[in-house]
Amino acid sequence: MAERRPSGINSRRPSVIPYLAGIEKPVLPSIPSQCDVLICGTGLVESILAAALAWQGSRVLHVDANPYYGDTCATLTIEQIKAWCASVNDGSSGFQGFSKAMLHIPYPHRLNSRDYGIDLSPRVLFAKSDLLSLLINSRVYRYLEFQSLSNFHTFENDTFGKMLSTKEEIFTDQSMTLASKRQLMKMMKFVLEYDLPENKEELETHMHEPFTDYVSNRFHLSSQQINELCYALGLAPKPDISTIQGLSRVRRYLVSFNIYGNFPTLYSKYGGPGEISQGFCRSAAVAGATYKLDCALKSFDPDTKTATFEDGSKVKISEKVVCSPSQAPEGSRNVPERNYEITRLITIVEKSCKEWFAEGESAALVVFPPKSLPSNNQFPVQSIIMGSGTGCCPKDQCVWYLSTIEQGERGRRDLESALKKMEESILRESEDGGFDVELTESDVAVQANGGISVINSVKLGKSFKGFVPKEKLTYLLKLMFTQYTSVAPFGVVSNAVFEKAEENDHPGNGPDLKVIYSSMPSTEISYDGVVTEARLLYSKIVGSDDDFFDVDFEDDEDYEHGPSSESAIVDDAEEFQPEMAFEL
Amino acid sequence: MSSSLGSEHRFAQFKLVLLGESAVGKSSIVQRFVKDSFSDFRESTIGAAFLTQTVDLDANTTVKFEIWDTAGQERYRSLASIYYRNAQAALVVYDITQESSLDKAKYWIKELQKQARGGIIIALVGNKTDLEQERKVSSEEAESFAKGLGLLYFEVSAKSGTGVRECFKQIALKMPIEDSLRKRRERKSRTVDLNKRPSTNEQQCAC
Amino acid sequence: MPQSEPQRESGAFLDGYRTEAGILREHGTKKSKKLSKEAMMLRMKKDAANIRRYRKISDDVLTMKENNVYTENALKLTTQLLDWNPEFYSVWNYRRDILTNYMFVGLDVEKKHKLLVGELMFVLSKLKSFPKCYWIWNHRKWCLMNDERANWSAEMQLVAQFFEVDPRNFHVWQYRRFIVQCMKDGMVSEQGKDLLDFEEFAFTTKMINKDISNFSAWHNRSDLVVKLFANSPEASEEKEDSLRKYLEVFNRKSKKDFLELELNLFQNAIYTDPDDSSVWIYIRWLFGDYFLSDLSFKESVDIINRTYQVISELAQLEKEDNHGRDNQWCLKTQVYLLKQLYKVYKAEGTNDYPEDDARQFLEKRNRLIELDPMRARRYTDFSLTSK
Repeated sequence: MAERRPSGINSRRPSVIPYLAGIEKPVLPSIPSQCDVLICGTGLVESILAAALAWQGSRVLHVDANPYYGDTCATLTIEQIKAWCASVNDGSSGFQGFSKAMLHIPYPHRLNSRDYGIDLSPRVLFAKSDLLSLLINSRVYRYLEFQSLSNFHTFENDTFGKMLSTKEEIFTDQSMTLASKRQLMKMMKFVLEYDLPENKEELETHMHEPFTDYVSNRFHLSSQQINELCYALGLAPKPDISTIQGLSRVRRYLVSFNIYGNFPTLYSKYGGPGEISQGFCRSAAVAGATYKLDCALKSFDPDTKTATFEDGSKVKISEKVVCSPSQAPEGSRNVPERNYEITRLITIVEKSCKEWFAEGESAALVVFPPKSLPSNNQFPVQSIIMGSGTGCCPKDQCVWYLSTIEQGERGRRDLESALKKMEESILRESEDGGFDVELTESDVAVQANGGISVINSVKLGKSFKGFVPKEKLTYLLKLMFTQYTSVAPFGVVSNAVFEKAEENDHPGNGPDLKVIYSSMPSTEISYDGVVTEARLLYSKIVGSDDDFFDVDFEDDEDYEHGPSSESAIVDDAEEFQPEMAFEL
Repeated sequence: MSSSLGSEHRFAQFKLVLLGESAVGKSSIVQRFVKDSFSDFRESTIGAAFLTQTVDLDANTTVKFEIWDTAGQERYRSLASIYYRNAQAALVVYDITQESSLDKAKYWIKELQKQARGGIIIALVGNKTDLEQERKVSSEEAESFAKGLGLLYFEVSAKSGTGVRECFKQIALKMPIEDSLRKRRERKSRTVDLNKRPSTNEQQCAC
Repeated sequence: MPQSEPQRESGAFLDGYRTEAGILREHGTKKSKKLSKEAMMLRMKKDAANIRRYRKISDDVLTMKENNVYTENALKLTTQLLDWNPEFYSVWNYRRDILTNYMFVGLDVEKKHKLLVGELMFVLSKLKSFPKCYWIWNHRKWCLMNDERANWSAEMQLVAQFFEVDPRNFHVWQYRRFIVQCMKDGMVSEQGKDLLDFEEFAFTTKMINKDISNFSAWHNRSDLVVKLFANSPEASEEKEDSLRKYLEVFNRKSKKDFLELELNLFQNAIYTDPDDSSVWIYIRWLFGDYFLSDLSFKESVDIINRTYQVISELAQLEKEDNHGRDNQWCLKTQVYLLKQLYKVYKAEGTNDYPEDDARQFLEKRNRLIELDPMRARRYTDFSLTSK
């Protein structure tokens, strides 16, 4: 936490000035004249990269054309959202990578701008994932607050259902037959063990056949269970995934269970990637990186290795320039193709939506599998629900983030269709007196060993076909836009995306010769792929990623306990009482 | 007070942020407070996400500060919103030998009023009283300014240590301890501490 | 299920994210974590100093222990030492001696309670990092037994918190039993004691539902069942249906009906996880002499045969799914049930033990010998007529 001393000398000012006057436009010191790496855009990938480079010892100058952190995955207030939409639509530089932003705020006076934190690309964090490990290793987690998210709902036949995905749920469920309990458990086990040597042969035989075929042949699961596995647990963004893709996606969910508790995912409070990128930027700053917002790249001259900014200032760069496509200089020629689309619909509704959350939680996921909506959607619609407990909106309101990789008008139609279903559902469930359908005997089951249980969470599970709401849902904000990315759904950021900067014959002398571009946030609803991309960029600059965040923190607290002898952990098995042993 | 284990000790933690121009001695003040040391040429504190230090208010009350330094992000006015988030106290530092640094402190106070949550305790702190002979900002001027805005006001020397502990102690006295204890008791939200994995022997999974 | 989930580079298990990240592999194996030379020296210095300090305190404390030194300073040193190494059991012993022979002297109940509350806090801080250390739990028990004002309900809350972290921790289960016993000892009313036992029984159900592989929960259940068959609270007091059913069975002391209730539970469990040992061990206990000796000949034959049938169906499914491999738990239990059945016939004094069952017994036993040659000897000695 060194004081970075300003290069200029403090200028003298008259001694008496009115309180707080004239400070809106302070004279800022000029940017450093030299750095090793210049990074433009403070999105999550770029911020992780900045921190990794700074800790490795590079002198990093990290700038953003916007007056806030986060760039393409920022968490914005209402006022910032308005400005953002305007800039997207008028094609301002600094907003490339988005299009067709449509914003509707019916009651502007009811929104206090700063009470909201709206994510441009919301994500959930699996409890066992590379980003989570990195958050811990880098200690960035200490700047943030994390909360659990347990409920993954699947919409099917006009019904919201919740998959039985844990041993506890399967064991205590009263509606499933013993045989299907066994099959479902077998499936779960196989998911965890498919890469063991004894399963190699089976896996290789079926690896490339459709996941749905494989699961239904091998484990005789119902099509509803398969949809839940694929689109809820697996969060698959498209249909027709292969067996290996399906297995790895479901595994991601299962291995994340019971890492921190009885839930698979977490999210960062007050905002997703926007908050986490701020954390990494702070980490980079602690390691010596220099930060400047409101600072857009104008051009880079690879011959003199000089970058020029819109305000006319210049910096000499000894290594590389990395830039987010969203912040490419005007007239750029090397921005990588962004062939993939994500259509997003963000709404703020005047309802707490607590009916969707697990007890004590403030967020949930809802997925609409292909063909489950009246719009006959070809691709799933994924939806993250963030209640007021997430710190993203005031009490008794809720933010819904819907997205799909369906393109254009179809995508927008699917999202509207899903939105309508969510509206019907929440109105039904939150209506006074609970639900209008009487519970019948078959909805309620008496468990062998613990009270009455209502099958499959009836509140959510009841079909609301034909339901006529008594009230209307109030939308406080509705924002729809299209985002573009270079990362294919299910793919990884390709090295090829960065290659352009290396090529010798460039199509012309644009202002971005030899600039390395990142690839824009992927279509993925989790954080997977983010660290991989940051690592790839790191390798591109440093030559290898061996020392990517290989930091040994001197103030390591774990270390202050002093030496202790090997822990004498006693295995529970030793404690078996003789009368409870099973020996013949 | 009846905690389940019969303890009567009150312990509360608060986030405190530092603000002020570069080179006014923000880090030095913290260094003095946390480690009771001073160095004219200080290296950065490796890896410290933030520093912590406790203040005992009386035999039964301990206040712990989680102190966030600007890490240089103040230089181009590029502090992130996470910096201000949930800060319950702020130290706005200026250098009594640099007239302009008080003007700049005023910018940060305004920024705090805009960005931080209501009820934040702000202390205006003039550093470098060891350089009394070079003083350019009079105590009266700074104090009347602080009073006018309802801020705490202190003058300290990070180099000699004069006034540093007292400054933090006065801030600690202003912290809403009962409030924080109550919130902790009532806390039901499932905040997850990423560093605290259940310490089971084997990795358990869903099945 | 194997306990060791193979270690993967986290994040790499997503297939898509591995394929194109050629760079990750290009540079070969990851270098071991390296420190700069200066950092290394610094750390070593710090280490060395720490180790020296630790040795010094450790020597001092053990010398004082030998000389029966009981002073406040000695107590302080044990605190320091245990902060470093909470598993140093002789230091815990010494600490108790100091408390007994010095700190407790002249204290009234109230003052002693205050002192021990502080001690409990210290113990708790150690348990947080070593939740599976005997000596620390022992010390906690000792504190409570020396405190006439011990707060048992607070201890139960603490147990609940430990279960949040690890519901299978045997030490916590044992500690819970200890607390319950202490609570019972402090009760005058016999009904109160029985009610407590039943609450504990209900608790094991809850924990088993959460995790059927929780052996300690099954074990505790078997313990409590025996107690409840001896004495149980009135069923009419219980509002909850399923729990009342159990109470009625305990009130009537009907072991047969208890087996019927449990049949549903374990059937669910073995279908959910056919490889989990806890349930199978519990089943074995259910069909042991404690139960069968109270059942009529007809009742015994009936329930054993039905259970055998349930397991046979599962065994068949398992075999089909596992490329013809038998599930050993099914086999073992089948063999065990057939032998128990034989005993039942024997006790009745008839020689009508079905021939088919005798054949099945031999067939399954021989299959076990094949599958588990390590135990061949034991299985060979195991016959219908063996002890």
